[in-house]
Amino acid sequence: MTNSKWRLLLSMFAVFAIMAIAVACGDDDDDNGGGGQTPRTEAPSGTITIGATQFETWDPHFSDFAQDISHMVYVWRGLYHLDLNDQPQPAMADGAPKVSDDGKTYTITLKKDLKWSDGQPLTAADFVLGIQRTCNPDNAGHYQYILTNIVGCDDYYAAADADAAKKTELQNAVGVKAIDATTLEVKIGAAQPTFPTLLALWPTFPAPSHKLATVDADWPGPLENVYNGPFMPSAYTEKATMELIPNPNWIGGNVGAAKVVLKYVDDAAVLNQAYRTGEVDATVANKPELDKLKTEFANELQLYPATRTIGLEFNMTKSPVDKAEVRLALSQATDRATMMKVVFTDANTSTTSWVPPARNGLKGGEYDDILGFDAAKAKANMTKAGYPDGKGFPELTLLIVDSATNKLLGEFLQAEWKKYLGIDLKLEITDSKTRSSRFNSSDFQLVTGGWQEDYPDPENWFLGLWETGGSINKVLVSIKALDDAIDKARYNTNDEERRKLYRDAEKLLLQEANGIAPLYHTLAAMLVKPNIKGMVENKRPGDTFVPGDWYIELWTTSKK
Amino acid sequence: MLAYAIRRVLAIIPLIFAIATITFFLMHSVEGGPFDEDKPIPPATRANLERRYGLDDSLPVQYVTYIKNLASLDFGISIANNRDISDIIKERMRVSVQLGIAAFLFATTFGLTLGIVSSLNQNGFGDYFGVFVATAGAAMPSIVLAPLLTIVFAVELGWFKVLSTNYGFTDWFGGDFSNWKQVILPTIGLGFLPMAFIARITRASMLEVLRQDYIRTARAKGLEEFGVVIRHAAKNALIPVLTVLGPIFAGLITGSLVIERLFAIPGLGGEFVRSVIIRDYGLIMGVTVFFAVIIAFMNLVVDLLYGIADPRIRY
Repeated sequence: MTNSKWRLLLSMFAVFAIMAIAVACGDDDDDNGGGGQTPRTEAPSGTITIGATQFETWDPHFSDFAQDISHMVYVWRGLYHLDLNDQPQPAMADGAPKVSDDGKTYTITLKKDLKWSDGQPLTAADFVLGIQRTCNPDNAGHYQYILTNIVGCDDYYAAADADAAKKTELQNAVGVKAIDATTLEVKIGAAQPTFPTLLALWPTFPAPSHKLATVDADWPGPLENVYNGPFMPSAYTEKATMELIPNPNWIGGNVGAAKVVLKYVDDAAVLNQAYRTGEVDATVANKPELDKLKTEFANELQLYPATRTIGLEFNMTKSPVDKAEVRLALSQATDRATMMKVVFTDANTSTTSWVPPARNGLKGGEYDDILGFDAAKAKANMTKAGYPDGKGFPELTLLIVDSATNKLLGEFLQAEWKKYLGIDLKLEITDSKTRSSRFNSSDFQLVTGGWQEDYPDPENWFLGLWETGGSINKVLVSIKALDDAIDKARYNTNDEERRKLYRDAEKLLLQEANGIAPLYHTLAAMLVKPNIKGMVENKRPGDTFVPGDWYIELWTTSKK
Repeated sequence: MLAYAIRRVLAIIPLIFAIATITFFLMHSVEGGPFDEDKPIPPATRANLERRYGLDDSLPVQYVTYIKNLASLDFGISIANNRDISDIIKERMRVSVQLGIAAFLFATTFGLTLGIVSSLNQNGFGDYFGVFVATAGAAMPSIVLAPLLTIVFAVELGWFKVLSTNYGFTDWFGGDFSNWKQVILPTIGLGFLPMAFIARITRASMLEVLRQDYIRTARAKGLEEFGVVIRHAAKNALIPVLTVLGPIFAGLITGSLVIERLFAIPGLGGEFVRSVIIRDYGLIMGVTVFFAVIIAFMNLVVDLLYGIADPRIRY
C-alpha cells in the first residue's frame, strides 16, 4: 500500500475527530416549545408529530391490523362515523339510512358534492366498489367475515377458483348497488341491528372507481391514492415517516393541525426517549416503564381501558382441563389482584368478565364469585375433580409466547397453583407464530389469550368464537344453550333483548369457565404533550396506537 | 488473477442454489405460518390468502416456482405488505449500506490508529489506553452501548436526536448535511465492537512485525520512524487485519437488528429478523440469498486483496 493511501486513512481519522469535537460544541436546534396553549383558529396551524407503528398494508378492504386501521381513519371515512359513545353518525351519508320494514334493505343517500382529494366526484359507485373489494376472493380481505350478512358476499368470497365470467357474475350479485350517483342500496340476508355500525368501518370504506379499473386492481400506495378523509399523505417513506396535510376536499370543514407527521418506530422504549427529547408529541407509553412514567409524566400519561380481554384459555377436549372442576380450580387459585401488581405493574386491570363491562351494560365483577380468587373453593373443586391436594393430577402445560412478561406470568401461575392446588405447571415457551399455529390447530391444553374487539358491540365478542364449530372457536367449546343464545341474539332487532341474550351467553360461557377464565382487561397507555388538544378528549377504547385517532380533524397544537 | 476471480464468481452460483434450497425447506419446516395470527383468521379467509400468495400449492411445486423465479432474479411479493421484495431489499439495503460504511470507516480508522499507537507504546500510557478501549469495546455489546449513548448524548445532553427514522447520507452529495447529527450515535454504536476487534488484531500483528529483522534494518538504514512504521511495519502487519476486514464489512453493511431498532433506522437487519418472526417466506428467502451473495462476494474481494497486500501470494 502506498503512502498516499495511508495519508487518506489518517485524514479520515482527523475528520472523525473534528466531527466529534463539533458535536460536543454544537447547539441543540430543536426547540420543543414550552407547551403553552394558543386558542384554536379556524385555519389549520402547527405540526403534530406522532410516534407511530408502520402499517402493514394501505388497503382498507384487505387489512386487519390495528395500526393499519389507525392510519386509514386519518385519510378515509365511510358512510358513517362512530361517535364517542360508539354510535354511528353520518359521515359521507346524509343522515341515517332508510331501512325497509323487514330490516333487510338499507338505502343511504350521500351528502352532496362529495369529492376525492384529487377533485374527482365521490359517488355511490365508489362505495359499491369498496364493499365488492372486501368480498372479492382474490383480494382476500381479512375482514370479509363481518360483511357475511350482505347478500352474495360469502358466495363471491368462496369463488376463488371460479373463472373470470363467474366471478364477475358473483361480483354483480353482491347485494350492494348504486341507485344513482348519490344513492346507495345495500341488501342483507337478515335484519341485523349492528349493520349501521359496520357501515362505519374500514371494510365498507369507498374505493375510487376512477383509479381502479377492476375490482381486483392493485390498491394504489399512499402517494398515488386519493382520499376522502380529513387528511392526506404528502410525503411517505416506508419504515421512516409519513406526513399528512389537510385534504382540500374534506367535507367536514377546517381541520385543526396544518400537518401531522408520523414517525415509524418499532420500539416503545425508544419512542419514550424521543418523547422525552420532544421529538414526538404523542406516543404509546412503554408499559414495562409504567411506574417511572407515572411519576415522570404524571399529567401526560393517559391510561384508559382498551377493549381487550386476556385469560386462561382451556382446550375443552384435552385432559385434565376438559373437567369443569379443574378449570374452576385453576381460575380460583389465581390471585388476579396480586398478578396485576407483580406481573403487570398495574398496566392492566384484573377481571373475571369476558366482555368488557362498558360493552354489555354490566359493572364488572359479576363472575368474581365463580371465577375469582378463593383458595378454599379452588381446593374443594380440585378434590371434586379427583385430585385432592393435586395428587394424581396429570401433566398440564401452559403454552405461552416468549416474552419477559409472559415468562413472569407463567412463573406466577406455577407458584400460585403449586401453593394452593399442589400441582406442577409445565411452561412451553415458543415464538408467537408457533403459539398461534398450535392454537389454531387446537393443539394445546392451556394457553393465555383472548380477544381484541373489532367493533363496539357484544356481538363481536361471541360470533364465531364460542358457537359449536364456530370459525375461530379453537378451544372447541360446544354447549347447546350457548349456541342457542348466540343464534337468537344475532338477528334480534330488539336491542334490549339482544343485549340481554349476550349477557346470558356470557354467563353460560363463564359459569364453568368453558374455554376461558378471564384474567385481565388491558389498558391502553399513551403519552401526550400538554400542547396537543383533541387527542385525549376524543380517545376511544379501541385506540390502542394513537388516542383519538378517529378524530384527527379535531387535533390541535399550540406548537408552531 | 482474472481467471481465478471468474472461477470464484461461477462457484457462487451453486452455493446460492444450495443456500436457497436449504433455507426454503428449513423455513417451511418451522412451525407456524404467515397467517397464524394472534387473532385467528376464519378458514375461508385463510384459504383465499394462501391462494393469493401461492401457498396453496404443494411444497415441491412452491419450491420449483421459487427457484425458477430466483433464476430470473424475481424474489416475489412480501406477504406482510404486498410489496415487491426486490424493492424492499433495495430500500433497506441502501440505508444499511450507508450505516455500515460509516461504521466501517469509524472502526477501521480508530481501530487501526489505536492498534498502531498501542504497539508503538507497548506497556506505556498509549498502550494501556488502547487496550482499555479495545477491551471495553469487546466487553460492551451494542445492546448496552446504544441505549447508553442515547441516554447520555441525546436525552441528557441533547446533542443528538433519539430517532434516526430519516437516516441516510443521500443528501450529503447534494450539499445538504442537515441530518449529520443522526449519523454519529448509530455509527459509534455499530462500529465500536469491530473497532475494538481491529485494534486488538492490529496491535498484536504490529508488535510481531516490529520485532522483525527487516524493521531493524530499515531503522539502521536511517529511515525516519514514520516511514518505518507506515511503509514497512504497518503494511505487513495489515495482512491478518485484512483477513477480518472483509467479513466485518459484510457484517456491517448487511444491517444490525439492535442498532436499527434502538435508533429507529429502517435498515435490512431489522427487516430480516422481522421477516423470520412473521414468517414472511418470500422476504426470508430474498434477504438470505442476498446476504449470501454479499458475503460470498466480500470473501472473494478479501482473497483478491491478499494478492495486493502480499505480492508473494499468487493465484
